[in-house]
Amino acid sequence: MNGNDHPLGPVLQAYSDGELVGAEAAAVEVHCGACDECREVLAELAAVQDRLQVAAPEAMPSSIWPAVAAQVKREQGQRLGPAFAMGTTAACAAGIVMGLLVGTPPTSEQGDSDQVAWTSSSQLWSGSGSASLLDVYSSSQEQEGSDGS
Amino acid sequence: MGSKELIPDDELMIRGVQGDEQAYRQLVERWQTPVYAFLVRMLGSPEDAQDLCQETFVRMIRSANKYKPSGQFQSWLFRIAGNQARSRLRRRKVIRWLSFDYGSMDPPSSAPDAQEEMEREELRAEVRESIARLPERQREALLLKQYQELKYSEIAEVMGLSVSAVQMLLHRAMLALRKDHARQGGNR
Repeated sequence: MNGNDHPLGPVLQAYSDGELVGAEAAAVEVHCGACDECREVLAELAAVQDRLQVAAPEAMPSSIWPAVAAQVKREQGQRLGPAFAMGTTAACAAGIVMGLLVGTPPTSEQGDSDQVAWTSSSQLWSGSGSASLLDVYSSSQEQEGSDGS
Repeated sequence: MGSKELIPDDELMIRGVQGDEQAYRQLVERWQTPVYAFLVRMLGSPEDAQDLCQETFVRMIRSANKYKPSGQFQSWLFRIAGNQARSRLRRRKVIRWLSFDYGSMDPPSSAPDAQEEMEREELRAEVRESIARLPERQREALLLKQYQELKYSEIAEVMGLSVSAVQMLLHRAMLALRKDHARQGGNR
């Protein structure tokens, strides 16, 4: 970039966003030191960014955890149905896990009003100690891990 | 470890996968506001945002055993949220940006600073409308940059795009916002 070549818009944008470092950032600074037009663009970008800050992010009305925990528990219960229907192996595995559920003493944390019975059920989600059921669960899901949805 | 020391997200995910419910709870409570704020602006509806916020965290837990702890939790989580938002927008096609229900907004008062507050609210509304008019991808990139303070490379990861594509989206978004800013007076 020489004194007469203005940096492209996306480059100025990246500079303004702090994305340029080293020689790239220095080149923009040298150019803008002598170019009113580009300085003006940077000033406009800064003004718009200030303006965007006015619309501060909204806060959640309340904690969403109880609803999340309840939905996880509900879905997990729904998933157990097909697991029982899949045959002896899956049914036995589910039986073992259900036995663990019944046999697990409550923890102090489970006394909270918004807690769900999670101690063993979380292992269904995580796969620790109940891989076969997790497989049943996972195979029935759309491919979520790769794209996160 | 002091009580105020934050447990890293990756550590909480590992604990969650090992069956620690409280780890998931901490993650949800740590991230619910940023995720909700992002979804409100993407969807234009607090109700839909709350609904999808919940779904995002359910999916976070559901997919937790596939998460690879590498310090990229925020990107991973916002990828889930972004996918949810795009899917919802595709389904409904209509964006209800102007029908925000800000229950906390008080009616105009006669206090001395009422005029100032009214002007601030007008400005906030203008900014929200400007953001709402952006095409979906530009809006998503802008929200992730401006309000979640993600780097270009992280936005690229969240949106499944190249860094240069993100740079172009942000450039176009800011160009549109600069035009709006100039049209609305440019002095506020």
